[in-house]
Formats: sequence, C-alpha cells, structure tokens
Amino acid sequence: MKNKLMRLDVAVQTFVKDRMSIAAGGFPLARQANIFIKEILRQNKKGGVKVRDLYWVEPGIGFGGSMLVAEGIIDSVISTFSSHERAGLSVITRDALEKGIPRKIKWEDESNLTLNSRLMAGALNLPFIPCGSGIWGDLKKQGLWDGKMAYPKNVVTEDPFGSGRKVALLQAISPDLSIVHVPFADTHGNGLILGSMYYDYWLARAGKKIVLIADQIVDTEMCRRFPNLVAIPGVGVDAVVPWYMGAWPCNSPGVYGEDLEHISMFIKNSRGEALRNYLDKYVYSWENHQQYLDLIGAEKVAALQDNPAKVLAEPFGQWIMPQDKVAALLQ
Amino acid sequence: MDSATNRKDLLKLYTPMEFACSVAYKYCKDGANVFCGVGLSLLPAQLAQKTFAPDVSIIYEGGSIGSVAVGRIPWGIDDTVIQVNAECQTDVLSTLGWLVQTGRVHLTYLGAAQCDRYGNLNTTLYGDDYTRPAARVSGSGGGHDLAVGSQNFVVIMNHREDRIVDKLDYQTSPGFCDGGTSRWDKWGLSGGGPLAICTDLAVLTPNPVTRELEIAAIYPFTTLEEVKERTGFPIRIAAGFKIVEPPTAEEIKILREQLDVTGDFTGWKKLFA
Repeated sequence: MKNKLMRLDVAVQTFVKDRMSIAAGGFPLARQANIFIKEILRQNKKGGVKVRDLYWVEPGIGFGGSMLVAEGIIDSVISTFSSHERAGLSVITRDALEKGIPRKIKWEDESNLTLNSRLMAGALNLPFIPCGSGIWGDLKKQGLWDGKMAYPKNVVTEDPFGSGRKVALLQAISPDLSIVHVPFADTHGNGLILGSMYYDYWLARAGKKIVLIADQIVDTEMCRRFPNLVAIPGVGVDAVVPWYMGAWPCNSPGVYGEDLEHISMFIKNSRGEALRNYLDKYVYSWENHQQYLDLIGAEKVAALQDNPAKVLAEPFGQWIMPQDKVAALLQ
Repeated sequence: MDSATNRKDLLKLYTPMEFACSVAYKYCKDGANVFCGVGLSLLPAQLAQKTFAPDVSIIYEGGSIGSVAVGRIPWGIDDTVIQVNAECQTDVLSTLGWLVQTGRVHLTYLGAAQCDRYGNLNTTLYGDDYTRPAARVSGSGGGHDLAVGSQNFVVIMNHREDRIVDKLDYQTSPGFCDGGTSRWDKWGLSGGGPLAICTDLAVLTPNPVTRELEIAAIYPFTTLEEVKERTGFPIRIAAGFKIVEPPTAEEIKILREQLDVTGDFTGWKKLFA
C-alpha cells in the first residue's frame, strides 16, 4: 500500500481551503488536533493558505478551535461544549459569542449524542439519522448557519413503522475534512487509538478527506499483530502527519498526559496583549519540530510522558519507527 | 443545634457542597451503572464507590468504563487519570447512545447553571438572545442525552433565585418537561427524570403527581425562609420534610483525603485558611 506520510506544512497546504468545513477530533483535554490547527494559522500568516472563514465542527472547543476563533478565521461552529473542563470556560469562545471579539461567530449547539450521530450519518453517506435525543428543548434552535449546511434542524416525527415512538431526525454532517490526532499510525494511514475514543471512530470516517496526526509512526507489523486496535482503517485515510507531542497541551493517552498548568496559563492569557504574546510565542515563533519541542521544554516533555497512562503503550514500544526512518519516508 | 448561631457554626466545620455530596451519593446503589459528568458531579459516585457501593460501575461519556482515578480527581471525563485502569474503552455512541438510550445506566450525576420548577436544566447560556448570549457557559456536552435516557438523575448545583428559576434562559436537558406525565406522554422520552436536586442550601425532590420540585430537606445551617427566598418560583414543602444531618466523619475523611484533595470542588480548604 501507498506511503501516506506527509509533512505538516504540506498537509495544511494540500487539504485546507477557505470556506471549507473541518471536523476536529478529541475532547477538550484529550487528543485535539492542536498542531494541525496551529499550522493552519502559521500557513495563513506565511501565505501557504489563504483562510478567512472556516466552518468548524468540534465536540468541545477547548484549546485548538479557540485559537482559530481568536485569530478571527472561524465563521461558524457546531459544537456541544465550550470549556476546558475543570480548568475553566473558554474565554475566547465567550468573548466571540457575547461581545463579537474579535468577530461575531455563528454557533449551533448539539449534544454529544446528536452531534456524533450527525457525523455517523455523514460517514454512512445518509442524508439524515433518527435519534432519541434532540426531541425536547432548545437544541432544535438554528444557529444561523450560512447555507453551507442546509436546514431545517431536528425534525421531530413518529416512527413510520407504527411503534408510536417519537424520534428527532437530524441532518447528516459530512465535513470537507476530518482531522484526528492519534498516538500511533502506520505509513498506510492505519490509525490506532489508546484510551477513550470520544467521537473519533465516526468523526474520522465522516470527512470527505481524512488526515491523521500521529505522535509515533509504527511498523505495519504492529497493525497486523493487533488489527482490532486500528480504529481508523488506512484505506480511507488521505494522509498521516507524524508529529510527536502534536496534541500538547492536551493529552494523548499512552504517550503523554495533559498539561494542566499550560492550559490554565492559556485561559489566563486569552485576551488582548497577553493573547497576542501567547500566540506569537507558541504558534508563530518556532520553525521546526525540534524548536517546537524546545519551546515546551525537555523537562516538561519528560514530566508529561511520565504519566500513569503510559502503561497503555508499553506493549507496543518495539514497533515504534525510529525518527530517522520516519524522516526518510517523509522525503 | 438549637439557636441560629449554633447552626451557622456548622459552616466552620463543613462546606455547603460537602452537605450536598453527602446527600447525593446515597442515591447510588451498589452494583449500579453510574454516569459522571464534570466538576462536582464527579464526587458522589466515587464517594459511594469508596463506601457502601464497591461494585458500582462508573461510566464516562468519552468511553472509559470501570476506571478508578489514579493520583487525583479527574479534571474532566477526558483526563488521563481515568484512562489508566479502565476495564474497557469505547466511544460516545456506545456510552450516550447504546448504554444510556437503552436504559442500562441506572443513575447519572449532573451539574447545571439553571434548573426550573420541573427539573429541566440549562447548562448552555444566560440571557434571552441565543445568537448573542449575555453569558455563555459550557453547553450540553452529554447532559441532554443523559437526562433523556438515564433511568434517573441527580443534580448538584448552587441555589440562587437566578439559578432555581421559573423559566430557563435556554432549555438544554429535560427533567419533567411541562410537569405531570408530559415527559413520557407528550415528549416520548425514555428515562425516569430527576430524583433530586441537591443544592448548597437544600434538597429538592419532585412531587409524585405534579412533578413540581418541592423542598424535601434543608441543611441545619439554613432556614426554610432562606431557601424560599432564594428560589425563583413559589415552592412547596414536600411530605416527609426533614433537616439533613451533617456529613459523617467517614464521608468527610474520604471526600477530603481521597477525592477532593485540593479542595477545588467543595472548597473545604477555605475552612482552614
């Protein structure tokens, strides 16, 4: 099978277009596609892409998505949650919704079951899907989407087969691009996930194009030995970007834990000059993977690796590809 | 505990949220499948697990099932400390879809920004304009789905007149909908709705017929007048009304030494500041 490894900058230039819809995997503290999101911003600044209005689909806008909101390149969001969990609410999302800073964004609320179901419908190439959630309450409210995804929203109806049960019909979401961070992938695009899957099984499959970002590239022999660990089959994946610590400051179970200190610091620096300084330093200042790792700091990286969940990856160390071999395959 | 002064003295020994947890965790049954959310709602199931309900199965919506947090209480359902020793890991469609919607989840603990007289919840926003909220809070997450399909749920939240309200600013998650049996007859929802709202002042439970919330109990440091004053609608007193006993020494020891070690959740460290 084809080698699907791709450099981060090339992947963003290849797959990201203005006014496209992107679904990003993970959860507020976990496996968000943060490095890919940062590279969208970096390429936008360098002229590698020209992005002004993205349609963003993400289960919980924590770290990554909110940086795009902060830089004013999000037009609309479909999400269920705008918080960094216990670390605090997303200040950037709040400012955009409440005050239009830096610009007004359109927002549509879903629940985790309704949004995941809509993505599953997209993955299965269905126009809509029935669901037991979304019947009662304000999740039926439309968020003024710009025609990119048509409406009406949540049609409540009865089972046509006569059971008398009510269901909400939810419209499918087929994003132009799905981006999912995984701990391990092979060169064929097989993505392996350790720990909770969140939405990623169906969110990945929903994309018209699918890009994985992997902390480590593993030998395909590992997939052959543990084929049931492959959550996202490579035959459907368009590219794999190798980027160790790519989900930081979120966790990538088995590889590193969440950097709560950094996330708390980010929340405190989510406005004005402090936000500008934050983005300048953590998004724009570095030029390559080593400089990115240096910015996190070797001591911090080691501390985050030394996490109780590292046991999840212990059986698989022998299949991790050395960095020089990965670099050669990227050429 | 006769005089008002002595009752208030209890707040030097316990925080209101420790009272709320000590009530909420008793709704958990041993062997039950229990769902936890973010924040304070993480505490009661773990307190039950460490006391009378060792065989409780804790389910987190991200897919982690049967894990016991290592080192500290998780900051969210996606924290690595609950990724370590799970019996299995699955996804949101299996937890909120399969397990919840088929009635396999016995009890859920939820937080809320607002709760109305029928136990319907708002966790999304304050204000009357959806497109420009006065204040955005977190959103549904899995809350809506759990309120729909969990066999029952218990809410832990703060008690103020703008939190326990007549009308929600946004209807995120269903309680008893329009009251009475409307939850099932009119809306066709599967689960049983809220068992109790445990606040920092009182315990509210639904009337068995109207399903309107009533004051089932208050904590010894507060009064019925105060609870009524801080409730955004005229509220009745439930049959069997009582005053809650303070948390036991064992409950406090586990809450402070094993669960909320940093005091971030119940605020207990302020008692010693």
